[in-house]
Amino acid sequence: MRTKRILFLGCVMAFLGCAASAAAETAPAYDIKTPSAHNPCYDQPDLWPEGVKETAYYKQKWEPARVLVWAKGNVLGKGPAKVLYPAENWLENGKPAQQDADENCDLVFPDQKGVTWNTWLRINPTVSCRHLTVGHGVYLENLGNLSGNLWSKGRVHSWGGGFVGKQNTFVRVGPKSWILKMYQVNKDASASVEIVDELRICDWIEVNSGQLIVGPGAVLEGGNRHQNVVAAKGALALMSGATFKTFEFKRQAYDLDVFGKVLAGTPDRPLTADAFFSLSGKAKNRGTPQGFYTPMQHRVHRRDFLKVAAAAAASPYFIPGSALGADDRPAPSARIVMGGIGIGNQGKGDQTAFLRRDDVQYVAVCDVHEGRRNAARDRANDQYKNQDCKTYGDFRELLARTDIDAIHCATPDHWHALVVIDACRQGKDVYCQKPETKTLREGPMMVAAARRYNRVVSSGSQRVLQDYRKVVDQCWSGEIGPIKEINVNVGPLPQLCYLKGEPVPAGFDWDMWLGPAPWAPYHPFRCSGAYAINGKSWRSFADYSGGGMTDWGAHHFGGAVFAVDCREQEPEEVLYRNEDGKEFLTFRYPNGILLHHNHPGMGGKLHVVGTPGVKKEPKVVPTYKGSGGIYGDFIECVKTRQKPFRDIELAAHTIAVAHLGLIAYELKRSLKWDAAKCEFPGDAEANRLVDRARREPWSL
Amino acid sequence: MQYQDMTRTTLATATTLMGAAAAVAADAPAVDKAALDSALEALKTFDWGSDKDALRGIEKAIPATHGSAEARKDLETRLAAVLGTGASRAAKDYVCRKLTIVGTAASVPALAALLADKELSHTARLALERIPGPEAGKTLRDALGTTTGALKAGVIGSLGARQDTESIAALAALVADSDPAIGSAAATALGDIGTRPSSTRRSTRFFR
Repeated sequence: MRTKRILFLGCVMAFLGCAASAAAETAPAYDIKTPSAHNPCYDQPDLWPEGVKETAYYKQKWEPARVLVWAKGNVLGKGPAKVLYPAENWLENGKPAQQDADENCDLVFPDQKGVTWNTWLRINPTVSCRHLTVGHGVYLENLGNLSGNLWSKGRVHSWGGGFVGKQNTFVRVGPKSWILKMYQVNKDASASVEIVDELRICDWIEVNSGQLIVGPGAVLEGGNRHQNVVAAKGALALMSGATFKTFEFKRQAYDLDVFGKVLAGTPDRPLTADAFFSLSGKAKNRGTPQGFYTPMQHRVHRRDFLKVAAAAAASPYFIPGSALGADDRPAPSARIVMGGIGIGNQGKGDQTAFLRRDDVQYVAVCDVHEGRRNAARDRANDQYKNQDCKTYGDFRELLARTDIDAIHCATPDHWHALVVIDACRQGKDVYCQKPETKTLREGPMMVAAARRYNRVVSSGSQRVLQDYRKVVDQCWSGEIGPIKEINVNVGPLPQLCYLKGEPVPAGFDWDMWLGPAPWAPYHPFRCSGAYAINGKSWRSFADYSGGGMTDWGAHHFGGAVFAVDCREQEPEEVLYRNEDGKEFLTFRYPNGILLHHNHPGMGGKLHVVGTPGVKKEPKVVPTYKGSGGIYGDFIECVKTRQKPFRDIELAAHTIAVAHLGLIAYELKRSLKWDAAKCEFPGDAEANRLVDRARREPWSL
Repeated sequence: MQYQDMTRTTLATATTLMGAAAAVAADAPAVDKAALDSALEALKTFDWGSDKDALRGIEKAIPATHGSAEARKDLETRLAAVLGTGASRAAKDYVCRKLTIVGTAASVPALAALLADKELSHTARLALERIPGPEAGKTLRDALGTTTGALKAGVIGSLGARQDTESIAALAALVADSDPAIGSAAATALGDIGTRPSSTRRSTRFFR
């Protein structure tokens, strides 16, 4: 998603900037004290990650060199570096330069004040130098050979140059800028280029020689258009909390051919937290890897690096976490490190289930209710006989922890999409309680996030398989023939809540509980996690839930579409009917199956209509992987990177049924639905209810 | 599980479905004007803790006015008028929820007046984000200049949700805003706008 955004930003710039000949002709004043590639200001700790003094680029000594500041406007049209070198283009020490620039100079293209996308400073000829500083609002289309540091707040392309020389250097491009084609060529074998921040779009990654280091907490993401290579003389090293990932783009997948090494840490900088390494799911081996290579979408844990070590001789370094338990448990490095977000009634149950597992190490809890999170912390600490479990009132802080592999989420429904999507972005696998979504639009967005970030996301609807197994077995066995119809009885519908406000209890972050939902005053019924849907729990109210239609509907509709094997589809039509004051619905699926809701005369939770006298070929009923029910299924999938039984995509299709029904009941009319477009075709009124505005500052 | 005779049930279902679409229009209840008047009167004093059943006349009027432009316009006008009064926050909250469905360009000015109101900005966006047409989009774009901080981030989010292409330039300029929340919201909104298929194609060409 982020890449699409960045691509689109690029698109915007291309369209608006194609006539960008009106950039500032007068270079803004440049403050020589500004942190830059040649003046890194390592003494300003807020500019640099913790442990910067251990880095090779920090230790690198540089001879003094001329610092030249660009004094002209745009230079369009491609050309060699020497086009830019004439002295009249540059300021030196605040005055017109007296000598031409050359590749040994430190060049600065300063911030362009007050520019918009279409007035960015554009430099098309190749730029080769030692240290290079690219200010905001500057677009260098051809990075040549760079022997020093690169610090860019603008945008840099590299088509044929790269990072060269014997020095250890850094690359900083920050989250709002990017560089295409990360070439590292002719680098001395012992020299490194270290990415300090985030290099989120990198079209083509080539490490031909030397080390490309993804620094602590840094991100290198890309390879979206071409193959990526770590050549025999090269190495890719990931520091603590670093992320490297390639991904699928337009159905094409690009992998990482490793002829050299992939390292987890380096001898002088051992890992203190997980590093993340992920390739596209469709990537295939196209080389003869001598170092580390994985053909699958894969998050490399510390234990995986250990496993790789013997085969690859990749010199991995690993410091185990503080998680130490009973001797008969799996080794700490083999456990899934988990945290929980939303530890109320259901969250407590989920936490307990995960705490019981030997292959889980539970280390963090988050809840807006101080008492609940402390109680949850104590449960974890009691289990492990330690004090390691940490508490958080803001889920973003928990998700920012790089040592956590997976989370479970049992917040009220209106929070699910935000938490799940953010967790995916942060590289966490997710077990999310049902109902998964509050609006129709959230479902596809959660699925996209899970796929985009290669995460395992499981719904928490255990009843789909466990409660309706007899119905499912009968349908899948074929003994009642082709299924024509099935009815689900479930409710009630949600209601608006205008309960009078009461004082907010101490230790309860009411604003955070509301989150993206409309503001309302605190009332204990409004936020009670009681299971009853009787006006005394958040499950009763439309701002936070779909009422029984989604709360129990996630189970019942899930069981129904599982039984009739429509799990991968959504209805194309919802027919609203009102007979003698009794409202009910029929969902029509593309394969002709009819799913009724509260159809008169059809009792029970699930009521199936088959074809008498006709037998069908039996099918094998899918079931959980691993052991331990739906929780075990999730953990097994986290380990093996398979899709769980209640994969978010299937769950989103299910809960869409309930949302479609809610909208039909609200508008009291029939609707057509295009699931692929997430819209009601030609129905402007219904389309207004596909999503709702989120309260500031929250957005998906 | 119960098991029914397929022939009888399916035929009955098929017959019902065939008539369902036609039945919708015929079944649409007429507007109960007295109930609507009563509900709108109740809105004047409605507040947190009030009996929301008193507003049922409005609830019922929404589906009842579907397909009747005149009745829908009357309902919209009367609801929007509440926003300019001294009605409570709860009452205006309720009105905006209903304008999410029945609101048109005619309601936009009344909603626009709430965008810079810390208490009611999101309430107004509930409707403005979902009302089709250029007027709502323009109002949100205009609000970029009149809101700050979290309210502005919210407005940006709504522009993104609307996939408002006319706001691209303004949003692009906000990506580098000194307020990280604004910059992040703007980048997210541009991404939302950019996920349109046509835009994706353009960006693909650009990077080819």
